[in-house]
Amino acid sequence: MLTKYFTKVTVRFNPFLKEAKPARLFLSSIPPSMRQSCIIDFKILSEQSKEKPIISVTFKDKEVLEVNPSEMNFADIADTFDRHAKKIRFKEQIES
Amino acid sequence: MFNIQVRSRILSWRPVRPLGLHKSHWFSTTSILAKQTSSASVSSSSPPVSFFKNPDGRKTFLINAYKHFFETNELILFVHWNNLLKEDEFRYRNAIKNAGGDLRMVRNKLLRVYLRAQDQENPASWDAHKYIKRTKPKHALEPLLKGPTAMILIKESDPEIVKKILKVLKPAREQLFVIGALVGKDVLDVTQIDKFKDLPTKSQLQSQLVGLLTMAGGAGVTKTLQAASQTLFLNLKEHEKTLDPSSKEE
Repeated sequence: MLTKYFTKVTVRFNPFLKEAKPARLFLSSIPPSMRQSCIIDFKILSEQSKEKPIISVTFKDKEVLEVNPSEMNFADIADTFDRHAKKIRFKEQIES
Repeated sequence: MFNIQVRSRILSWRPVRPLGLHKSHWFSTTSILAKQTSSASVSSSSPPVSFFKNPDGRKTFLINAYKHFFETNELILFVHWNNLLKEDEFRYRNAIKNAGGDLRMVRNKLLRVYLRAQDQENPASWDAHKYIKRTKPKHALEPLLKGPTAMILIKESDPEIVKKILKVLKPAREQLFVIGALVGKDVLDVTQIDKFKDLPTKSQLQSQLVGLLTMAGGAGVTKTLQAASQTLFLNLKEHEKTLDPSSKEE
């Protein structure tokens, strides 16, 4: 997954439910070198909380993409974010 | 020279023992194997254990190590860890140790095997494997074993230690955060852990109870507790008198 164009990541999930696997794999795929440039915001939900699980990414070009981890697996989520990241990379390559 | 050293190190590699396990307790394979050999020599009645995997291997060792951890610790916090740099890991490990816990990274699939065969005497044995295949048991902790997971082992279920550990983990943010806990046989989620850490300790509760009983002693708590047995005794005594006429004459 191309993570170098991320500027902000928001992850909300309940660790006891189905969405935990893609959400946790997504969190673990952000390398430690990104800690300076990317703000990672996470929240652990419990049974009582009414908030919905979410993975939201703000890209360098201020585009925001949101996915629901309970409906997708990790490979699909990575594909969704990669599609936009590759567009940014292509733009950068043309400009340089 | 260097190559020879490296080669000898590779050849002499053995699964690493978890820290804090005494030789007699790093039980897993060695103690079970020792039992096997002793049983063979003494020809005792217990049959030798047949392991599903290599009895000297890392998988058997880890499953038995997890058994040891779950049996010797009253409280286990499950945490998610995110690409920790070695220096960060070392720092958190030390801080958790000073707070009264012990951080251990988990092999998810092997811990799942142990959790499913928890009722079995040897969770790494063939019998346990057959039991899992036959009954397909599920454990409440299994959903937590998806992704990079670690355990913080705490010997006593003391909310004060949990409070200290949560304080240590707070600045770690997304690098290391709690996702659930096992207290005795109860599985807790994050909100329940937050409530648990504010509870008084066991000794405090006991002293409160003693204080309450001594305070309420004057209010007739002891009398009420004794009343049932006293009335029973008096009723039986009356019954005895009615049955035995000689006692009446006396």
